[in-house]
Amino acid sequence: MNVRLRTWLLFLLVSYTSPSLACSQDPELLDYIHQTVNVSVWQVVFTQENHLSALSRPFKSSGIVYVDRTRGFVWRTQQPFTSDLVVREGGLEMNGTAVASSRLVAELLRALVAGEVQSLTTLFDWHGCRADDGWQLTLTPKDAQLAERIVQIEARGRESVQELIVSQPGNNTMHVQFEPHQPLEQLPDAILHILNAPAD
Amino acid sequence: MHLLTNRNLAITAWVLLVGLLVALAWTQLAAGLVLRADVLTLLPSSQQDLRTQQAIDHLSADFERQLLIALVPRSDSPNFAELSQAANQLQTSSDASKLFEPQKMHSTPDASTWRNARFQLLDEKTRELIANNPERLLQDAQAQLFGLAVGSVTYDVLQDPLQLERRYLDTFAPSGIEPLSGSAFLSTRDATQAIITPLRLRSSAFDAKRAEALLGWLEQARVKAAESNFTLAAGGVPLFAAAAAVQARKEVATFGLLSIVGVIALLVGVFASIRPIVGTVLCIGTGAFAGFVCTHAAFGEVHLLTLVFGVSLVGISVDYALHFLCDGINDENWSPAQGIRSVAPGITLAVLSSIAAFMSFLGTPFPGLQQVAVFSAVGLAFAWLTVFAILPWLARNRVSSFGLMLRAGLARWAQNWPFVSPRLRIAPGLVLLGLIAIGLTTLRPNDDIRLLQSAEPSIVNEDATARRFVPYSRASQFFIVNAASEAELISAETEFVAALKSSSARTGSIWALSSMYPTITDQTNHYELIQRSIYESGLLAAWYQSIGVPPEQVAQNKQAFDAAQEAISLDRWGQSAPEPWQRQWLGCDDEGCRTTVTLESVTDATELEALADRFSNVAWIDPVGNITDVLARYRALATQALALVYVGIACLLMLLFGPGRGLRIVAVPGFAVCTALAACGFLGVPFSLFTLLAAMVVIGISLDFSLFYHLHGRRRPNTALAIALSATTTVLAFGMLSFSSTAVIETFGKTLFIGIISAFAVAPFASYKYAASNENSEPKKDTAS
Repeated sequence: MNVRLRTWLLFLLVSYTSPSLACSQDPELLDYIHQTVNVSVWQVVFTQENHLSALSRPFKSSGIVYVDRTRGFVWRTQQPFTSDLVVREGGLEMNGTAVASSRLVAELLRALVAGEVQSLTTLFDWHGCRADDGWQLTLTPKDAQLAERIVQIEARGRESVQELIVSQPGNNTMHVQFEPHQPLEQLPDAILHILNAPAD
Repeated sequence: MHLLTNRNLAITAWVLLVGLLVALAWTQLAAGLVLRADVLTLLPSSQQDLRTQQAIDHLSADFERQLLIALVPRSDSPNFAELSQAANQLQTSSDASKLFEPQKMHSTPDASTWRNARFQLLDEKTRELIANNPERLLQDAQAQLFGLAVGSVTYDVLQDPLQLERRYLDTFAPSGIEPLSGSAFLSTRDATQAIITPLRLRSSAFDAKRAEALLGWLEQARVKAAESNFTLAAGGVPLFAAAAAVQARKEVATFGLLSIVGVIALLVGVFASIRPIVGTVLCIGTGAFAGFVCTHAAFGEVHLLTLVFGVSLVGISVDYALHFLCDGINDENWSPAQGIRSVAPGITLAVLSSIAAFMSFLGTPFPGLQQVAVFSAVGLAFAWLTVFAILPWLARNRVSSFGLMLRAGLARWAQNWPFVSPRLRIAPGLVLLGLIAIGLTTLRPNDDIRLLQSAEPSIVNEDATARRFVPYSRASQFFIVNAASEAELISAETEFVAALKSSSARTGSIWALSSMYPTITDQTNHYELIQRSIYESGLLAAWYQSIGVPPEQVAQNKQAFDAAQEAISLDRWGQSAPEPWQRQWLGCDDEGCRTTVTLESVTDATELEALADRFSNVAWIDPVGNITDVLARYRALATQALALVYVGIACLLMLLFGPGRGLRIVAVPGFAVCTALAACGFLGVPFSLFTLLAAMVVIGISLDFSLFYHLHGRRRPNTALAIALSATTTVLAFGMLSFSSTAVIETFGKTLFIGIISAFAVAPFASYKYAASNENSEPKKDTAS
């Protein structure tokens, strides 16, 4: 492979893996993302891979997310085992047990999944743009304490979020891909019950 | 005395001394002047033993620098973006102000120490789960590894699948608050949520220079918060200290301006010249300069309050200048040399008695009073020398028509004193003395240290609002528990806390290390429980296998478990615990181990003290009460010192003038001080060490009044005028302090005001009868010899 070809391939690789370099800043992007999500209740199928630098194989899972933009969402893992993570404004709840001091993370997840990323601008610097095939957004923590937990968040989508890559310290990465979302008139009763029920 | 009235000698001595002082001041400036503003440094070293003092210092370290800001939303339910934006805005503003250092409300402990001891440090809930349902813990770990792991370090889950470290740390997290952004927290302790930002001042809260900057920043922050639909409430020592400093500065500016205008108007009105003003300012100015330089040389620093009180006391020297300046009024044959000879005995006696009185402060253990003693003694001595050396150049025997009129009126007043025929004097005199006696019995001591810095109700309310949202609000009082060993200490503390909880004392939350630290036995049991339920049962190995973790990772985890058999000692635990728990641990030494038990609030200190007395190894510590006790003890000591000084002056005067005349002279300051104290009793003004400081000034000035009346005779108009001017200028200078909003300054002002007025009213008594032989010689022939 000659040098020119290798340089070209490297450029393509960087362009793909680094959205902040691949497009110029679009100041209207956050409003655009918010407007594209034009339903308030929906469900979406996801597949997830959590890569730990210490292990060669990722932890893979899949399931359904039930979203209510005003209430929060239920992240229901179905494979390889079942579990429910409830995300509300007040915090997280894992399998019926409240997670301590999780309001910040809950708000972050809620904003990412529901496409309400404007609310994150106080905590993150952002860079992103629109293209024919959708939008891409990179968030970097402003706050040092938050940076101890999250290095960077990359999100891509069209009408809703289609891909999330969360880079964490120690080269650990969470990669989630969403199928196109399915609007609902209302959440299933069982999910509503979980979303409305107070934690232990 | 002849040496002193030799003008050339006086000038030479004055110039030499000023030269020495300037040289000394130059070296001090070169080395750096140290001006302290911290009120606490004026207090005596605590009477507590060293270890107790260390405990107080350890617990209260940084307390004075901590400012708490609460942003309370005005809308019912602000969204997260609004909350974090308000927090960020405050953070940006506080960073830009350069007034604060980074501060954490709930810091994490020394990670490596606690991580290695995670198999021993179990909270009760986790211990029960491991014993009864360990699968549940592993399910949670599995959910984290496979699920949404944003904000948690997933690799840690692999290392510590039971999440023991996080679970134990979570038990330390204060309930009702959680991180928001930066150093800001969201508090949901109250029905209303609020953003809490703890800030730490870069300099002491008592740094008067920063006070205005702090209040200015707070005002700006309030406006910005209001624009974002939030209400800002601040709390903590810096708020009170800054408000007090700014208030004091305003009062000094207002009262200072009024008194300066008043004094200038009076002196110019009387003398129709600015020479007397120059003379008095020169006397006080050079005296204050000498006092400052010598005090700084002696102590290596000067406190701002020493400066205030010292200059006040040196202000007594206005008497000396005024007596000299008034001496030649309306006497065409008067010369400065004659004036010096006339006033020298009086002002020399006055300065000696005042210096003797102030030097008694040197015997107290208060660094502030010791500084005041040196400052005022040196200052008065130098002011006295200035009268001899410099004032003769400034004196004239001219006076305005207003001055002449005033002089004539005062002369008539002094001649006719006490305005009652001898037959009718006894009854009113007895009534007056009876009233004074009653007033003295109503005088109530109040030595509360908080009188030093009284706060506006609005500030108290704001502080309470901010603290409502904070979990770490603790009373200043606490218990110290000590024992020979760590094990005995935990046992003793547990027993004491149980007794405390079962007592009727209302203390709110109780913080004790024994509630968080598992004993060595418990730690061993925890380790064995994990070994049995998690490792030996094969549960963990199966779990690792089910999630596809390679065998080497499993082996690594087992090795970590096997290597962590040693329990963590209380000392190591205490040293690495999160704040504020770390502060409670006082450590172990040759004399044993010590810890503190802190309380949220104290409603009945007596009951808690009594409870501590029931335990041989528990001590009740009340730092504020302790300082108040010390102030009370030294008030009693200062009262005795004042009485001794008074008796000493009386003995000296009786020796010089004979018993009858000596007693007559000291009767005036005695009456003035007793009247001032009695009036304080009637007015409900608290009797404190600072009342005695004012009483000392009253004695100094009223002694001048009586000495001059005695030496010059009450029918000498110039003496009456000098005394009237001295009384008026003193009242103008200090009497206005009566309107201060700080209780202690108000006390000082009221005592001085009433004392000086009383002294002026009865001062002619000093010359009455005994000076009668001189009273017909008015005005040209003086009696002074």
